[in-house]
Formats: sequence, structure tokens, C-alpha cells
Amino acid sequence: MKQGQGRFKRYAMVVEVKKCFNCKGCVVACRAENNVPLPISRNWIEESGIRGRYPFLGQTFEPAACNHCERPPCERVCPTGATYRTSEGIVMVDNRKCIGCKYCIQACPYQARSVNRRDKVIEKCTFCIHRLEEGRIPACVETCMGGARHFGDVNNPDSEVARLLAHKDSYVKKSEAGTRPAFYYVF
Amino acid sequence: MNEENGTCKESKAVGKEKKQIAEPGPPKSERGRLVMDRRRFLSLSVSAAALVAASGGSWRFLAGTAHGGLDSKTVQGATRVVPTVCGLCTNKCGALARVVDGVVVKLDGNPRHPKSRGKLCARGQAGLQLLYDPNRLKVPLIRAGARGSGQWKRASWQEALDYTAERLLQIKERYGPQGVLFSSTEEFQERFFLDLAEAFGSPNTIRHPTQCLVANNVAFFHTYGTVPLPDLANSCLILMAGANRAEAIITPDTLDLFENLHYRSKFIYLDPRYTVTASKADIWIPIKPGTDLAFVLAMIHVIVKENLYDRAFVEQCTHGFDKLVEHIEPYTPEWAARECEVPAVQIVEIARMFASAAPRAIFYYGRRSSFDRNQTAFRRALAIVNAIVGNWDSPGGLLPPQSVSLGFTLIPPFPDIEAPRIDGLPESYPLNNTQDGVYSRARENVLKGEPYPVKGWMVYKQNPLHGMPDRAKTQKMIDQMEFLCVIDVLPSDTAWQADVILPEATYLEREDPLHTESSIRPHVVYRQQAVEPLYESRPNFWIMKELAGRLGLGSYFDYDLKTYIENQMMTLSEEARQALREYGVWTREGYPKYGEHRAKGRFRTPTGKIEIYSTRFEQQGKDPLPVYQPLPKPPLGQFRLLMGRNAYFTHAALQNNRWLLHLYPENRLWIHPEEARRLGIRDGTTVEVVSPVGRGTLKAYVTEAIRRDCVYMDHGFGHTSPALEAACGRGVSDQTLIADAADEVTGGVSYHETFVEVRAAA
Amino acid sequence: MESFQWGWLIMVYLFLGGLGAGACFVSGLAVYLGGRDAYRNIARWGAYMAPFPVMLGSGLLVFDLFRPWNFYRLFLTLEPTSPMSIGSWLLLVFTGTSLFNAFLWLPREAKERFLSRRRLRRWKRWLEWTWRGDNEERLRSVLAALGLPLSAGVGLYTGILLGAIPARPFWNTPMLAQLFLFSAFSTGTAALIVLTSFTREHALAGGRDAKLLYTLDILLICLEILIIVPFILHAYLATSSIQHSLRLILGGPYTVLFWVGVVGLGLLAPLALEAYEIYPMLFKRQAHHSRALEVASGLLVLTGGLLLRYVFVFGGQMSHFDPGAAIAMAGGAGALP
Repeated sequence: MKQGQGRFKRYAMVVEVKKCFNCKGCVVACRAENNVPLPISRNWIEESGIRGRYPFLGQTFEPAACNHCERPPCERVCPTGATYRTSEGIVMVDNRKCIGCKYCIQACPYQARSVNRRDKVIEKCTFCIHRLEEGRIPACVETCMGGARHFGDVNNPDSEVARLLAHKDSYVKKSEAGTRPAFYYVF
Repeated sequence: MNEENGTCKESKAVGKEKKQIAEPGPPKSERGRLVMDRRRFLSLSVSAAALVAASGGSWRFLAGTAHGGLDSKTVQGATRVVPTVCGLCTNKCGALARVVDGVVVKLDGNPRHPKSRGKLCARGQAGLQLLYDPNRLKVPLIRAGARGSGQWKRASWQEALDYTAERLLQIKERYGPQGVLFSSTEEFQERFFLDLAEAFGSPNTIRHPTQCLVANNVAFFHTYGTVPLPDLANSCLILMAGANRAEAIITPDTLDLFENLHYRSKFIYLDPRYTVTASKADIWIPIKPGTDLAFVLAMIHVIVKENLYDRAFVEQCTHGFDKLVEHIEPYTPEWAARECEVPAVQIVEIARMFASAAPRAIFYYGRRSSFDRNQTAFRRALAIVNAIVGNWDSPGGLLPPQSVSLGFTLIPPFPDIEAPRIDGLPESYPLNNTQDGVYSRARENVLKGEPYPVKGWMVYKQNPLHGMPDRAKTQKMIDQMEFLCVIDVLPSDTAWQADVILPEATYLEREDPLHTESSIRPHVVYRQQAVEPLYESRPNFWIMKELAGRLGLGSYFDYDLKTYIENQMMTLSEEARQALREYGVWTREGYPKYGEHRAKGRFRTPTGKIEIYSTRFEQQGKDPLPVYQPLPKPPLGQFRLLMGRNAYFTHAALQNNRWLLHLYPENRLWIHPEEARRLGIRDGTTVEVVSPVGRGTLKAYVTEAIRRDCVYMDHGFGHTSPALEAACGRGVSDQTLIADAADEVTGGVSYHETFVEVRAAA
Repeated sequence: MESFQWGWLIMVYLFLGGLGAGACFVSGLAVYLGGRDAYRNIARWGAYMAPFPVMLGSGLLVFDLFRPWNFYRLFLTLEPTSPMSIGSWLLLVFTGTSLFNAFLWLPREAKERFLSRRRLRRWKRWLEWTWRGDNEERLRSVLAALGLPLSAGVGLYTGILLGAIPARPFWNTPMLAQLFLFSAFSTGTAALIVLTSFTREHALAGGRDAKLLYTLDILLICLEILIIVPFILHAYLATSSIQHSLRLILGGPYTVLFWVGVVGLGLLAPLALEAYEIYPMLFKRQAHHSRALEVASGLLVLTGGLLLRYVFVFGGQMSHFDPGAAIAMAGGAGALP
């Protein structure tokens, strides 16, 4: 492992799709952890619905949230620079600068952002940065019952996420958008 | 520390600042809280008195504004982490409550808990919304109008308890102590309710097993002398019939199953419905409902005939194998294929796979076994098929359950009870655990008034209107009661019918006795109090003690909870006690253990062996080996109604939890597209379902995920209590539709024996 | 996530912003073409009209913000990758210059009277030089010249703002900016057609100003049509999500609004009317001159412009990147082919 001053962390989420069984523990954990008011959510499960004809059927569940893109369209279009990306790859919103124009919501290909009308802020996943600072993992990852969610520094080859991505085939959502998400799905 | 990070921290702090909402509500300091509460309730009772004068008291006492706690929380401020145990279902997963200024802001899993391993499902995470549910029972209530009219009089605890004791004594006087039924559901303070029942002198305690797992327990208990637990984590082949572990979560089974998925184990799952679990299985078998027993009998047939069983183990540790060989002769795979609508070659293949993977193979039996008349026989067959492949006390097989023995508190011996039980136990169902009772038989006899009238009903943490089939019958049972008292946290449908409602404190507001859960890793949990009880709710122990005092039974509760817990701790090491106080859980080291029990080869059965041929069953005149009864077919145009659950609710208890309801607002009727087309039903439109005992309307979910001959709905919806403002009126209660049917060995309810008609509604 | 984040306020702003920009453009053009005397009426009324719809529209924009107390933050920075940032600066500069321009076009007596008010007397001393001698004409020319790129900027940036969003395939075509630009100028022209038809000078001008406006509007409408055709063709031949999004106006919920409202009422009908008014000039005869027709054709164009923005603002938000979502929002697979 290279010990370099110039090497930054890049936090990423890796989801083993087969293990997600839609318990939605992550959705409620996020709501509790981040005080997200109904009816919006920072994260959700994409349900494929039932595929096929009885009895040859299939069904998939893909957890989703802000992808913390390397090239976030939301950051690009924000007129005040309120949306920014930390050096560890987490896309955040500086509420001092946000004017609430909702351009970022239009720009996000993943529909990951919404307006929190109670607190008048943009609501989106922050990879539980407040927990990361305490050395804990995001609430959704901690509570994932299927063990589907993995989180860590993908630039560290020894991390669980790096190993998963090396070992398994993976995909990201809407790769044609050129956003380079930090939210990976493995089979 | 580069500039960006600096900005990030700063802005996060400022951003969070903006998130503080100054909403009215109890002030943050804990000390201030109690004073404020009292003042609030003084004002509440003043307005209550006015309202009582005006309207005779309305149910609005049960409604209310949201407790300021949740919405005004901030993540700043001193955080206390309190070890507790989740109380939203039966799993009792260890949890850690984060408390800031007297408000529980988050529940996290307890990483040291051997079952839940640091995780909490959606329900566990939503426990906050139970604590702060605006519709929670807040004050004791006494009925002020006709039963079920929603007219309540707000009472003080003194009043309510005096009144309850008075009525109970009246009934005791007129009908004897057996005239009061005590029904309850398991939790850490249930013990005290059952103690009160015994002290009171009533033999009539009824718990939930006959609506759930009694067939499983009876079948396995009488086979193995105990109810074993599966070592799924180390299993290489897992067969599951109808135990929908992805949506009916059991820890650690669900976690073990998914950890192991596509890794060590092959997973084969039988279910007439394509549940989430089916979508994760390597093989899903869309078996015809009610025929699982045929499948297993055929498997046993193959294993026996092809000599795939563990000969040494069978000879050493089992009794009755020779009779089994004779018995399964007619149960061929070809026969089963016709019954189950599963190809015979598949049955044979699976039997062979199972036997060759053994002893690291389990035919998992789950928990709920309340399906149809074959259930006890089916569970016996499961016990047998596991036994003959020799997976007992072996890695990846069935293990003897372990618990930790705790100290007890001496109380005076209970009075002798002369009256027989209303449900005729133990004679009526001699293979059952007597104290659990048999609900359907009890209900029947109460309605008949034989052998004696039962006119009083104490209900603790139970909702019979939602749990028992044929809701109309349960309503009649309530109607004929002279006195019904419900102790609960939410104004359930059953509470709505009560004479007295007593608000219990939720699990986050209580310190509870230690509990040891039967597990392959023996452990003890200690639920500690996260916050003071809100409103005027009280822990059940206090309620029982107060009632006992008024009933002249104070000597049975002549201790306090602290002492009770200390006594429990006495049998534990200092290390264990420390761990319990600090972490809320202590696990005995060195488990799971394998082989010790197997080496001894002694089982707690009459023959001292695993009873493939059950001598006790024979003794009681039941089939000593499982016999298959084909289920009647639904008449033309009708469907078998199946019920089950999902991962977001626990039966009928949590539909009012707004965080959970948001995930899943109502139940729908699952129906196959061909059938839907035939009936002119489109997805999402309303349908009417008619059964021999009731009818209901709900939306249709047209899906390929179910067989053509059945329809399915989730259990637990269709609440009628207007005080449950979020849940009321959503969906339909399956129990309105399901007719009273039970299996004759255990008296356990058979929920899947009802046929229904489905029509498109306007 | 599924509701419209941008609604009526944004739609009306786009319309008003375009209108004001168009008026400014026409005013500047009139100055350029007309030298000192001809087309003065157009130049004057264009100048008067330019700032106020834009200011009102900007007000609506601020009203749409959910953190409006921070809106000054827009002017503490310039984010070059954000069309909204560039646009807000453009609006600021445009508002300032067009207000000043409107002031310049006031008749001298009006300026004097306006600045004689007690509170404004300070400003009078500063501004008096603007109407001394030749200055007035020179300044008007300078500002007209400035107004051309500024109005083009304001007209163009709204299309760029929408067009830069790949997450909304219906917007994400290269044609959108031009479409919005020409529509903006067209609505500005139309507004002036309506407005000037009521002025004294119009009657006196003998139809020459109407001729300019009509010609300009016909040109712009043709350009719009010439954009819509390739817009549809290119979208049809583009990535599947863009192709799917096209179904919103080809069989989907906005089909009628687009073809009948935007194209029919907003482009073809006024084109026909204006062509009718003007065609006699082809035979070197006097153009028709009817206030009723002027107002009618102007209002038609304005309606079309409003509907165009409605279709794009709402339709675009429906066309999430995920074609499945677009179909679902449009009311199920049955609604679209």
C-alpha cells in the first residue's frame, strides 16, 4: 500500500445486489439518523418488480441514493457554489450559500436530491459524514440485514470495497451520463 | 487539514443549526420534563373534564399532537448511549438507544448481540416512532358510553385500578376466579401478568402459540425432547418450506441465510407464492398449498428406499425407524408429484441432494406453523427427515437450544386451582403446553358458556380481534364479556372495545428483567431504561403490583423490580453482570458447540431416543407417524386465501407507525393475471372478497407471483379504531375473512383453509 | 421525487424574460436600422417595455426559491459552469442597462419632471448630461448596441439552462437554446406589435413600423419552425432516452398542447395573419393595416410562447433520464406507444 501525501480517499458504496432483500432497514435508519421528514427520503430501494411468467420469475432490489459522483452535474450547475465535493469524494451542500433554486434537482440523473420543506434545505445523502468523522460507518451500511452494503475508501486497495470491485463484476447506474458515480453494484 | 475539509465541517455545523426547529413541546431537560408533563396533563384534564361534561368523553383523548421530541431533535448535545432490547417483534435484537437531552434520537443495533450483530431492521429503526407516536395511549381510560362507541372518561391511575380490581372481584365472586380470562403475549414483563393470573386463581391463561408456532413446537418437542435450532451459518444445503425469512425476519436465521447466499450453501425454497425469499433461492418450487407434507414424505421415501440415511445415527439415536420404513411405502415421489404439482424427478433429485449434503443440510422449519390441518404431521415429517440424515448436533445441522439459567425471586406458592381450564387443557390437547392454552377452543367454550361462564377478560399486549380468525366471532366473545381490560401502548381495535384501558410504557421507557433467549449461542440481555415514561404510561410490573394490592394479592408482588433483577443476576459471574450493565448483553463463550449432546445419545423422550415413531402421540391416540390428509379443493371459481406478512410490520401492531406505513400504506389482494382477466380485475382497482364468515374490499395486486388457485393478502391491516389515525381504514383485515379452523392434534389455528370469492368492485 | 420542482413561476418567468429580451432586441434593431427618425416609435416603446417584464420575472424567480433570503449570494460569485449563475448576472446587467435605456428614451420634459421630485434631485445633477445636446442620441445608440448582445444573452441562456441537463432528455437537445431565443424575440416583437398598434405615432407612421415588426416576426416564426423540424428529427435519431422523451409530444400528454397550441396557434396562425397583412408589399402595394389583426396576431404569438414554455418546463421534468419513469409518469405504458 502506497503511503503518499497526494493520495486522497475516495469513499464509495458497494452493494451486493443479490443480498438486498428489501427489508428497508436502511431507509428507516437514514430517516432516523438524519432527521429526514416524511414524505421525502434520502435513500430508497429500486424495485425491479416481478419479471417473467409464472413459474419462471425474477425480482431484483437495488438500494439507491446520491451517487457522490466524481463529476457531479449538481455541482456543475449550482449557481452559488453551494453544492461542492469534499476531497474524500462526498458531495455536500453548504446551506449558507444555497438559495433554493432547485437547479441541482433538475440536473441530477439519479433523482437523488429533494427539497426538505420543513427545514428548507436540500435533502440528500451525505454518506453520514458526521458519523465518518467519528470513525463510524453510514447508518444504512451498519444496519443492512442482508449484508449487502459495503462502504469504504475505494482508493485503498486493501479495503473491502476495493477488493469487492476487483474480484467481482460491477456496474453503476447511468454510466452514459459520464458522472462517474461512487455507488457500485456487484452481482 | 485542507481548506475544503475545513469548509465542510463548518458548513455542516451551520447547516445543522438551520435544521433545529423550535417546535412547542416538552423542554429538553429531563428534570423539567416531569413538571411540564404534569402541568400539561393538568390542563389536559381540565379540558378533559369540560369535554366529559359536554360530550360524555370522546376518543380524542387517544389522539394528540406529536410529541415535540422527534422533530425538534438535534444531533448536537450530550449523547447518552443506553443498551436496550428492541421490542417491536419477537426477535429481541439488542439495540443501543442514543439519547440526547432526554429524547431518543436514534436506535442502532448492538454489535455484541449474537442474534442481531449490530443490525436493526426497518421496524427496529422505527422504534422511535412508537415512542413518539401521537396516538399512543397516554392516560388510563374508562369506558363512558356503549362498548365500542369510543366514549371514554379520562381516569387517574387510582381510579382506573380501583375500578378494575372492583370489577374483577365482582366477577370472581359471581363466577369464580376462572371467570376471568388472562391473555397475553410474550415480552420481558409478561411474567408478572401470568403471576397475577395464577395468584388470582384463574387457570385460564392464553398466549399466542396456538395462533402461530404450536404445531412446530409440539412436533419437534415430542420428537427430539426439545425444539432444536438450526445452524444455518454452517449449512451447505438449506431447504425451506414457506418460512419467508426475507420478509418474516428472524435473527440470526435471516442474517445467516443471506450471509451464506451463493457462497457456502444451496438454498431451495417451497412456497405457492413468489416471495422475496423465493427470488433469492437457488431453486423455487411453486408448490400447491397444503401439500408440503406430501413433498417431505416423498423425500423420506427416497432417502429410506435408496439407503441415503445416516445408518449409524439412526441405529444409535432414533426409535421407530423400522416402522417408518413401512409407513412411507405408499408415499412415493410419483404420488407426491400429483399432490404437490411438482415433477417427481425434482422431488427425487432434491431428496438426494439433501441426503448427500447431510449432515450439513437442514430442512428448515421456521416458526409459524399455522397453515392447515396437516401442520402437525408436516412438522413431524420435518423433524423426521432431519433426524434420519443425522444432522443432529453437527455443524450446519440442528443444535440443541441453549439458554442461561438466571436466578429467581421467591414468592409465596400460588393457590391451588380447582376449576378446569376453559379450553379443556390438558385433556383436550394433551400434547400441548398447558399454560399457552388453545385460543380457538377457549373462544368456542366462552361463547357457549361451557363448562362455565367466563365474563372477565384481561388482555396484555395482545390484539385478539386481529389475531384470531373469524373476527365476528371474536367480537361476539368480547360482547358477551362483562368486563374487558386492555393493557397496551396503542389504542388497538381490541382496546377500543374495552371497559378499561391502561397505558403501558414502551420498551424504551422501561428497565426490564433480564431475559435469556433460547439460542445456539446462549446469551442474556438486559434492557435498560432510555427515557422516563412519557405521559402517564407505566411499566406492566407496576400495574400488576398495584392491581394485586387491590385484589388482596399483594404478597405475590412483595418486591420491587430492582430486587427482581438483582436476584436474576445472582447466578451470573461478575464479568457477566458487568457486561450486562455496560453493553446490555452477555454471551457465554465457546458456542455453538457440537457433538457433546450427540455423544451422550440421550434425549428427553419416553424412549430416551429421537422418536421417529412418537410414543406420546400414540399414547394420546394421535398418529404416531405423519399421515397425509389431502385438503379439499376450492369450489369452481373460488380461491384458497393465503395470508402472511412483510418485513415492515409485526402482525397488526405497527401499522400506525408513520415511518413504516410510509413504506407500505395498505395491503392488497395478490391475484394471478389470468384469473384477474377472467374476473375483469385490473391492477390497482378495488375488489371485493367474500368468504363464508365475512367480506371486505381492498385493492388488487395483479401479479405473476402467485398460483392461479390461490389469492394472498398481508396480515394486520384493516384497523377500525379511529384513534389509530394513521392506520385506521387502510386495507382489510384478513381475519374478517378467515374462518375458524384448527388442526386436531394441537388445536392450532389453520389460517389457510378458507375459500373466497373475488369480484371486481365498482 | 416525482413532483414538479419547477412550476408555473418558472414557466412565467421564462416567458416574461424572453419577452423583455425580445423587446430590447427589437428596440436596438430599430435604432440600428432607423437612423435618427424612422422606427423611432418602435425603438421607444421597445425600450420602455424591455426592463419590466424581466424585473417581474426575476421577482417570480426569487419567489420560487425556497431559501430566498440567500439570493444575494448569486452575486457574490460567478460560476462559469452554471448557466444559472451566468444568467443571473446577465439579468442583473440587463435590468440595469434596460432601465437606464428606458429612462433615456423618455421625452426631455418627462425626464425633467421625473427627476424634479425631492428625493431624486441629487440624481438630476448626475444625469442631466445625458440629455444635453447630442448625448441623448449617442447614448441611445450605445445602449441599443449593448442591448443587442445582452438581449441575445438573456434570450439564449434560458434555453441553455434547460439544454444543459442530460438528466432531462426532453431538454437535452442542441436545438433548445436557439428555439428559446427565437421564441423570445418573437414574443418581444409580438408584444410590440400589440403595444404600438395603440400608440399615436403608429397611426402617423403610416404602417412602416408595422412592416418592420411584421417582417421581423415572420422571419422569427419561420426560424422557429425551422428549428422545431430538426429538433424532432434529431431527437428521434438520438439516444433512446431522448427518443423516448419525444413521445411526450408525439402521442403523450403534451401532444395536443404542442401541436395545436404552440405550433398551430403560436406559429402557423400568426404567420398566416402576418403574411396576409404584408403580402401586398410583394406587389409594391401598400400593406394592410388593421389594428384588429395586429392585436390578434400578436396575442396568438404570445399565447404560443407561453404554451411553448409550459410544454418544455413541465414536459421536460417528466422526461427523467429513465425512460421507464417517463412512461410511468405519463400514465402507464398504455399512454405511449
